[in-house]
Amino acid sequence: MDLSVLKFIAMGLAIGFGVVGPGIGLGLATKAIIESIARQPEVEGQISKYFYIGAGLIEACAIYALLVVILIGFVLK
Amino acid sequence: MEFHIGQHWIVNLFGLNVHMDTLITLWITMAIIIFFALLAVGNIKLIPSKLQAVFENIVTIFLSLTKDMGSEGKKHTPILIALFLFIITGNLIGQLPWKLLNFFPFIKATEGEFASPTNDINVTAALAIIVLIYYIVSGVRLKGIGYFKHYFQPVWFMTPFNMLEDVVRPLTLALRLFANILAGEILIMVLGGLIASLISPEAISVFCQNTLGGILPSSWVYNITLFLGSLLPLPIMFFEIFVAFIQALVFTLLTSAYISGAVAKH
Repeated sequence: MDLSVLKFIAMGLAIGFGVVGPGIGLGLATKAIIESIARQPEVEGQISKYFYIGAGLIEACAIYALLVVILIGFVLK
Repeated sequence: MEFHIGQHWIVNLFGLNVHMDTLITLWITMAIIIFFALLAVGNIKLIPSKLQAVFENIVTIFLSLTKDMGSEGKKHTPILIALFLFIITGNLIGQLPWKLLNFFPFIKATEGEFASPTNDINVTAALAIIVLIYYIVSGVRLKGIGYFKHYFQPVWFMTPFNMLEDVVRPLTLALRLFANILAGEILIMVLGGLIASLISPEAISVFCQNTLGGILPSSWVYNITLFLGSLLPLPIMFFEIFVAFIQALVFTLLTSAYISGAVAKH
């Protein structure tokens, strides 16, 4: 197979498998914060900042996958 | 559609290859911070002006972050505030309309784009190395040579893993900030050029003749479509403002966690 075709397949696979874990993680985090706000609506302001920070950390994992995709596609020859 | 990812306007200064676009935006960032800081503290009053109140709030927030660093914790506040202000200003000025600079011929925008200084890995790596050196030095200053005992902390064969931690921490700090900002730029670039790359004047004129029956002029439809297509990255731009704040906060909070881990008493 042509190398550039393999490169596109690798890019698709890398981002596809790479976002599975962060997707599950973000789902769990959202589930946890919704449950805790439903149980105690008055703590929303206190805990949502931790949720945003955690979501930023989780999202970074998906962005590492994107970084690998950029490396495969545009940087590595 | 052409992509320019990770390309910079390289200028040779005194035998060093300098990324000129990054350098200019870095200096603009510094100028903004220094200007507002001087404006805020130049005329300190007991009843603060609005700008002074903003800066006092920032200082108060970061003082509360350093509470768990012991009695000497207060002196770590300046580096946290400096990192936060620098990163958030750097992230946010990437949203300014730098594309307008393409009209000036002496700026070689084809070789690289003016954007956030933090979308250059060299800048974020420098920040991460500053953090690494800072927390090691502050640990050594507090505990002397005993700081390095934590490498052998639970049992002796954990030493390689403890040393690996000092490599992984700055690496993830640098990559997280760099990749988040770069991903935002790429997303805005892709969405902004999406409609323009999909349609062509010929296709629009065929569409106007066959489907609309020639009731609208085709150039008019083409321009309207291009305008609506250029609005496509707007929601992403608003999201990027949020991301800029969150990433600056994450960087600063992780730094404070590393510093408090280094100065903690065992």
